[in-house]
Amino acid sequence: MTLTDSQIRRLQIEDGLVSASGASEAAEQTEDQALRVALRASLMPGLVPSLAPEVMGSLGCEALPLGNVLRDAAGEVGAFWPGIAAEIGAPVGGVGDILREALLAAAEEEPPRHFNRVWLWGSIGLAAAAAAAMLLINVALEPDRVPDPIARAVEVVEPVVQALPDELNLPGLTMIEALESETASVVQVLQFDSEAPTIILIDEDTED
Amino acid sequence: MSTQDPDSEMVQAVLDGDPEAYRSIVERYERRIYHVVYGMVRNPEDARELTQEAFVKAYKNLKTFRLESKFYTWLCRIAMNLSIDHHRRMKHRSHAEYDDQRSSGAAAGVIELASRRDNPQANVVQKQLRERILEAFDQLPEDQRQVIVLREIEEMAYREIAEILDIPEGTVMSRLYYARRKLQQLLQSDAP
Repeated sequence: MTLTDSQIRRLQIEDGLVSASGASEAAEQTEDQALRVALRASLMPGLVPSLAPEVMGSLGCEALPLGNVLRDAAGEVGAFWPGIAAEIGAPVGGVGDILREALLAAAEEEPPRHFNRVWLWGSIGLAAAAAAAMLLINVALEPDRVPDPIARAVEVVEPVVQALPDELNLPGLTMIEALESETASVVQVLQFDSEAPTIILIDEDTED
Repeated sequence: MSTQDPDSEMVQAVLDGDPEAYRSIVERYERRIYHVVYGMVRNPEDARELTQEAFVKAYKNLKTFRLESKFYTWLCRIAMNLSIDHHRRMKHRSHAEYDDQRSSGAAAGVIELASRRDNPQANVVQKQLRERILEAFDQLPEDQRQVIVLREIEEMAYREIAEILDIPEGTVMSRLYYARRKLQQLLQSDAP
């Protein structure tokens, strides 16, 4: 319904867009604006909850300090590293210790802030890749100590990296697509988005 | 030379792969969006859920947002549509149950408002007045309730309301005018 000129004028006075002129318009304005005030008071909520943490949580960004997360990630690395090393009879040092120390140092230095799950998942993926790489290095250096090194490496690494998403309630699935190497290796960790599986590719380094 | 507004910059940051930038957007608008949604559904729990849903939906559809547009207008449209869908769904499911829920939600707000005052008699009057206003408001058609909420709670300009509801500015003015007259009429006829 189209408004008449007088209706438009009343609306504009009511909304304070033009001034009332004359006693009649002023009285009408008082009444109209009283309704607006009462209406506004009636429709307003009491308390407004803070929703950002829940929204960000549902989008995959946890409300946890980054330092804690890094320590957790380092803990995970520390927990599965000795198991892998024991399986192949290799020392725990080397890549695993370097990775763990780096995560712990970062945890110390990072001020509390929020983090993205994708980041955490990336770090776990790298840890898994490093584990696989260390296995290959060790079996390459001491092949006699491991009868079927490649098959053993797959056996050891695969369940560990596949269990991590469940334990940490992370999206995605880790799959080792290829694990073939004799000496020098190339390790690639691929994850195209937070929902996609992490793919770790380990292959021979063909470059001299 | 054109400069992007802060919202567009934050949206661009999210699109560039920094989901944390979205937190700033949520914190900036959560209060306003909650106000709008609460005005439509008037149940605190439903308003909370729908507000969250609006932000999540906006995030997931961020690629479709045109950066030259106002982010808040776009977000508000999503929230308003969700509120309307919810209202229709609930009404369809059970009139009585939904009305009870809204009454209890409104009552909770009244108690909270009343507790801030020292005058018990004024509290009673205020509560009665609020109930009458809300009863009258519920009798308005959905399209009129929308413009009332956006104008009275968010104090939006006619043009902005028109953008959110995707209707001409003249239609906003017409709906607003007739909604207010209808409310006055209902309140006067209901006067003790």
